[in-house]
Amino acid sequence: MSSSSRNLISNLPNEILTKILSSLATKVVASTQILSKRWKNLLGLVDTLWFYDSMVVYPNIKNKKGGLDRLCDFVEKTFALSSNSPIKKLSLPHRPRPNRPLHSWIWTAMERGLLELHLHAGQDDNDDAYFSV
Amino acid sequence: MSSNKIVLTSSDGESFEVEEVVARKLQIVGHMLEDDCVINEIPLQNVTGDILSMVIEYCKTHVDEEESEEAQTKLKTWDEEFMKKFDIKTLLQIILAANYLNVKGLLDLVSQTIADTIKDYTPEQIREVFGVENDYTEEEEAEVRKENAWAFDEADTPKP
Repeated sequence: MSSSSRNLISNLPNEILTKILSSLATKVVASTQILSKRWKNLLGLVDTLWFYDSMVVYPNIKNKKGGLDRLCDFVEKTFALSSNSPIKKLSLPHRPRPNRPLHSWIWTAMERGLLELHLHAGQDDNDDAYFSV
Repeated sequence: MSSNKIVLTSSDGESFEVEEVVARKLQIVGHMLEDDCVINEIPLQNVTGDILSMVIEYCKTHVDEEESEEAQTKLKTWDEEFMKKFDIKTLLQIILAANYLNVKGLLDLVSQTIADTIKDYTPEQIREVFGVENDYTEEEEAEVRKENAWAFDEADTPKP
């Protein structure tokens, strides 16, 4: 590859990077924050957010509870990070803790222009419910 | 259907003669043609000949997007085979071209393919492929790693 195309790739515009990241589970997007300061901010620009229960489910029950807590924290942190950026698609597990209301997340997303909502009704992906808004 | 020919010229001077319907799949060209319908040669400054030829191959195949399920399945299979031809670095050049030339279908296809490819990469591999320079101090990097500790564990992450 020529040095000019290498340069182009180092300077891929945010719109291309966020498009690629929109196809990844949000957990994977979070893990790319370690790459550089620029990549740390990309999570806030991604308009498609995929949160999964199974991101944080461990065989060990104690860990599982901690995992769900962390997932809730992560959803809220991601929402805060993207402050007023649009959210087009949102995918959520159905069992957030009762004191972390799922509907408030959905409302927030709708205020930011949500077009498609996926709710996982069970552990099994086949139980997903899809809504268009 | 018009059988007008349009010549597309790459940044490195390579010329491609294509049917107008194919050229119009590149929305940047479509807009130029609407502005001035007598154009028949279009210079494309930001794309090299080798990459432009791949974009044209995609556009030729997708020129008649039939609704039938059979046609859709055939196109999908073609897309998969087409993407298998390229390594990640070529894919990144194609996505840049698809963005500049505004070929939405190809942009979607390539971004999904890149996402599928990098989802199991380590941070170091992603840095290498995307030419990312780590500009964190050691302390900052440790802080980011701590904030996202759960994201680096091995829990199963399904594909969206």
